[in-house]
Amino acid sequence: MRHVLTLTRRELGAYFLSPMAFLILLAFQAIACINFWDLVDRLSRHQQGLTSLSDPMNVYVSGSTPFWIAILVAVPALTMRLIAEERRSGTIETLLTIPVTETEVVVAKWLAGLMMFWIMLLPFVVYLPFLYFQAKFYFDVGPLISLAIGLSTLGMMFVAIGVFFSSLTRNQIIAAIWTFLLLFMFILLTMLVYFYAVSAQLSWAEAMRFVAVLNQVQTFGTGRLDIRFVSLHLSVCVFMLYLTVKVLETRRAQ
Amino acid sequence: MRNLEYVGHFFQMTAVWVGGLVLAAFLVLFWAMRGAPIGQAVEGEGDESPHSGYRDRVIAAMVLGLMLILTGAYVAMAHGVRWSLPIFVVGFGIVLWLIAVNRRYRHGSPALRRTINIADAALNAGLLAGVLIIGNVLAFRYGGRVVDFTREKMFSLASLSVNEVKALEKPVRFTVFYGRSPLAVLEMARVQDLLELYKAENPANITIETIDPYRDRDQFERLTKRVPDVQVNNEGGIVIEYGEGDDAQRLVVPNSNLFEFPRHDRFQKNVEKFISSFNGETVVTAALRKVREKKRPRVAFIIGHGEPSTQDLDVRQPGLGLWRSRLTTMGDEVLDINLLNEEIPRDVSVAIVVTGKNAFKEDEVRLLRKYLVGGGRLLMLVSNGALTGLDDFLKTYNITIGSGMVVDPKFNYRRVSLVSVQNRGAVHHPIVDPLTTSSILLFNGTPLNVMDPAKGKPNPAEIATPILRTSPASWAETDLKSRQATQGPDDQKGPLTVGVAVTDRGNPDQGQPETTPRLVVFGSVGMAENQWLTVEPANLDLLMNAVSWLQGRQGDVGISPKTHEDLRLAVDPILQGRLILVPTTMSVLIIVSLGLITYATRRE
Repeated sequence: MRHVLTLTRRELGAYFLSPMAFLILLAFQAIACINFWDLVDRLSRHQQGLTSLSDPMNVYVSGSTPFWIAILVAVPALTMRLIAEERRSGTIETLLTIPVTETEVVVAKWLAGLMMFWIMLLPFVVYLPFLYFQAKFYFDVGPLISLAIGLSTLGMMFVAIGVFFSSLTRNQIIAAIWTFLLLFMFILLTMLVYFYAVSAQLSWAEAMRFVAVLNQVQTFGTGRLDIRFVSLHLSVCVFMLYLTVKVLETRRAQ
Repeated sequence: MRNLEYVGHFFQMTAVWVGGLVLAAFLVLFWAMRGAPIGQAVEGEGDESPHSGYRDRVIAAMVLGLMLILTGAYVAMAHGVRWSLPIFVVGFGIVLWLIAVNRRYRHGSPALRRTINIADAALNAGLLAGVLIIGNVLAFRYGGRVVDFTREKMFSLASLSVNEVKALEKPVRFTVFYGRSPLAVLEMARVQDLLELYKAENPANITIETIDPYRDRDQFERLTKRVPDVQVNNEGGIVIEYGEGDDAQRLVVPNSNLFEFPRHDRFQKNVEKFISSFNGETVVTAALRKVREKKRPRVAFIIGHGEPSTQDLDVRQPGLGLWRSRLTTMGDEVLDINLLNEEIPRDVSVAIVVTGKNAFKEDEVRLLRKYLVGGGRLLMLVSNGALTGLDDFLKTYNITIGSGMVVDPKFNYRRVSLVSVQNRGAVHHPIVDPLTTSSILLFNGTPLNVMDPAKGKPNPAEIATPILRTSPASWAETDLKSRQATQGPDDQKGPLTVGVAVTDRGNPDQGQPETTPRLVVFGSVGMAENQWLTVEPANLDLLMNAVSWLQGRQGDVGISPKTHEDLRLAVDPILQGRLILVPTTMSVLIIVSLGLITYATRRE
């Protein structure tokens, strides 16, 4: 795996040499600004909660609709080109003829995508020190750490899905659409199906709640780091990366 | 017409659709592996390739093997792993055997090479997926614990609760019934989260049911038949059922016993910090113990001396009803005893004396002594405002009641007679240790003195330990007629002892424990009254801790209430604007600058 670092650096460079990364960052900055504005407004209101479950800090980021829409768009946009572009331009052949393994290529591309995902979340973090130190609003930092860990593992899963679809096709748009559909299913459809299962009192409602990403992130946001969710994210991530490696191996064999 | 009906019925059968889908999947997979649909010749096969009939049979068998593995996975999920094993064995057997036998044709036949590659990849992916799925299913079923990142540790249970839950021998059903008030809605989420923590510790024995009395009427009716104590109110609560059927032990815990908060603060808009306490874990664990043990410890209030009523629940009145209610919820059987009519039964685990307007008579004191000598335990709330008749009795336990009223200019609360006592770890005792972050509110506090061996002759059989002290800035004001409290030369200087715990000195050589809890004395009667318990809920925790310590239920003392601080952001509009604009502008500038620098560098 000694080539991973070099390959990751190359991929990150590719992101920042095009305007796309900056445009996405600006878009996330705008969303973070709106979110924080809303948070400040909520925190300024009369508080009478008996539990931190109703704390506005707990729904910062995790309960934001614009954030989820942005994730649904940004992750496919970031990952669609990772392998599809190499295949379209033919550079994948060169890449696979140099002494690097498919696993190294896949892991490096996934790492680059993951780093971009983390960078995208930075605008949400920027405001918090100002709130804590300047406004002297001594909020509980624990739930935010839990949320950060949860979003990171979620990002690992999402980026791995994106990398997989990018490996299946030469067409970036098709890769982006498939990634979008799967993420949409994970984020929204699971929650809708869960609500349906609860209302119909079906036995698998609890299992559906377990896989519903929105529920997972809300749980992280309240300060509960459920290891089962982390395990699920990492499992899907590992499986997707494995499939991606297999796809590349098959291409090389052909 | 009749034929059309038959066709309609035929297509409504699930088996037809499933069969159709299986057939379609078979054909698609067959096509993908073979490289051409059925009926068309496969191109590119070399001379070393086996004949087409053999190739098609191998590919069809491979597809069949893979589909059997998928079927096995479905059977494992729907009907259990045991039923799926034969299917898995056949499926994996076919695929592995075909891969092994036909690997020699991989150079001569592109179709067989493709088939082997796809089957190989599918098999590996299937195995990996299987391992990951099994791991996640096991984690989902048995690994419900979370890492708690909250400051107030709201998602963690004390070890006592965990032990209590693990000791359950019969199934427990928690039924959460909703209240209708906005407050009840706020409370319910917290209660449900707590019960989930109990469930995570013993998922096999605990079930949780939620009932909205106004929506799930049938369910609620069934519940009221089982547990008539459940009443429709705006409050909501939990029904705990231990066991099943007619033999089940049942208990109702109203929400009011779970939460403590200054109620007037809820309606004041400018409150910057709304502090509430959640006693759910203490109450539920005690309730579980109660239903499990069946036998309820008895606690007796000694009445008949003009003390506040033990039945009065009015939060504006100086009754002791809230304390009594908490004792009942915690699993104690509470009774009132007038010593002029009866003596304290031997099975009373703790007797509570709250001094009132009338002093104890000699006969009553004799009965108190008799009770203690017989192994009883006593909790006393004393005041020097009137004669108590208990001075000599207390001296036996190395305690004297001081004179004057405790005042503290540093920690008084709204008026001189209300003093806040804060134990920030200065004194260590099981009764006060869980309350190091809380304050105790004394109303008309009375100083207590532990007898000094240098000044008197203490009883060597008893050890009196101060457990609660006021601040060094306090004193005992003896001039109560003066409008302003000022420390006089005769006033006892702080820190003043206002709580003492007494233990019997045992004799370990004779098989006795080193010490046995015997008596706890607090120097305030008002601290237990309803009106002050609603202002400072920690008072009730202190009293309950004292009762639990005396009863020898040390574990109950260890569960401290979870305190939640709901903060309000109190900033002026200018700072509010700055909070939003400064980070935004800074970030945007950084992003744009980086973009421009990259653009400029690339142009060069």
